Amino acid sequence: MLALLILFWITDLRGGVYSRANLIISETNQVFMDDSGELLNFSAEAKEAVEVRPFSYYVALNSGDRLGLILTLFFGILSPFVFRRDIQFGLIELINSKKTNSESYVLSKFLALFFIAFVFSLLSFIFVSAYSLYVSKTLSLSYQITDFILPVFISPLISSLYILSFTALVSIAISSSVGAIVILFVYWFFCVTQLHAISSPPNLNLILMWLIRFVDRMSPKVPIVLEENRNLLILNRCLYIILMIVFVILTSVLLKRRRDNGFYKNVITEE
Amino acid sequence: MGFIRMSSLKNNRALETVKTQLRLISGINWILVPALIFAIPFIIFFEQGDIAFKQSWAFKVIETFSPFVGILIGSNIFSREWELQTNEIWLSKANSRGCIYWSRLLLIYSYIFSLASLELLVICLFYVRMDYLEGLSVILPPAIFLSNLGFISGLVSKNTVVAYLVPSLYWFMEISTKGKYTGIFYLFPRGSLACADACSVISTSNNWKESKLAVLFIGVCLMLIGWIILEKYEFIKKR
Repeated sequence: MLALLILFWITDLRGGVYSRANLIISETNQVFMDDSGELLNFSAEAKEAVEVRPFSYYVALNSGDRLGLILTLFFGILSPFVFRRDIQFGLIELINSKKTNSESYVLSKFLALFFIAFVFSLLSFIFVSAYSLYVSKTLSLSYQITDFILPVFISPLISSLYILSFTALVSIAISSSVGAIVILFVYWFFCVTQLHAISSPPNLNLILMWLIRFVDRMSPKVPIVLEENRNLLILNRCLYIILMIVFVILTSVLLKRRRDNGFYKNVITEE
Repeated sequence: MGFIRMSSLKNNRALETVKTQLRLISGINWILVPALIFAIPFIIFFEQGDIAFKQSWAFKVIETFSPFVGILIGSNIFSREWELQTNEIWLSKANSRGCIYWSRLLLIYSYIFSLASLELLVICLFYVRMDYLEGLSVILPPAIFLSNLGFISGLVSKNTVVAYLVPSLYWFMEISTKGKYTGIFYLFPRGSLACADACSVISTSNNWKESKLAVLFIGVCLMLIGWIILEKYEFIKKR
């Protein structure tokens, strides 16, 4: 997973930072037509944008958007197997024979996963902020490290923690890790297509988006729109922290009930 | 008469093998994947416009997200043998593994084909009329390629997590780098949904058919590589 993440940093995030810097330093205008037929000058907009906020601000939003997508996919695929493997390989019988209670068993698994999610988010944060600093220094662009903390570190971390607990719960509930992955993909698909959740005037649907998509081209309008949506964004992140806790508790309750009912006594290895 | 009986016996045995393999590889994911197939028309339904816009939008979304079906169905077909600890049984058999390999591939491709057809049918009925053959040529090559990439990753790593992660990450890379590293082997040449920084930078390319053929070619190559890996598995394992 770490190898895949590093590959993602190099191929995707690095390119994203550089393409944004190129838009600002480019001497030529880059004009494109959008789906509605309107002409957009990306380069001129980018130059206006860096007069309002530092270059790092826009890079952080874009990188945070992509990091959220990839980290949730990573952890969404990983976590269903963490519990199901114990059941498939018959380890659950061994665990049942010990004095370990369900709460500590579930919590220990989740803590390990949360720790990995934390480390991966932190490493990504370090990579993006360090590389942006390098590009900013090289091309003499404005930079503030604090711009990265919320969109690149906190937001993807909360999304990852939430999706970890969600897919783990689903895998236990439907007794299938592969089934949980399918549900994750459908869920992820609904979220990934919500490209304009952060809008002006604010849309209340934003509260329900488990994965914040900051996508927008470099434009001076971005800080204004984000400021308008600030309260909804905070509400959204709080909601997902609460949901994460609820899912962890539910997983523990479900596992306990199944253990008490003897569900895992005769473990059938086939899903 | 004897010849007819022999060929009938062979047909029965082939049918039995296919049935057994179907039982082995089909799981809850096969039942849940149609949810994704119905989610795609549901999402595109909210974008209204003239027929040209609707067709372009429908092609964009189905091309980008339908290959997920390949990942979800095909990725774990071999790695699950290690999950279920049944690998030793079929790897230790003296007879060729070709029967297992090709019947499993035949099954997953048939299912992907059926789901793609169903998806196009739903879009045609409820959203906009689309060229069926064009739709299939847009969906199938990346779906086949990603499913092959998934099962090879699973076969080599013997791990289902890796089997799902590798094609998913490849899909994501293609979306975000817009074919910068893959060139003609770009999975989504007919239009990209990756609007992260510049949606319109990628215009619909005219040579998308060549690109799809190239992807299909790589998919077939992966299929053959998978076959070689499986055939030589015992040898690789000993080494």
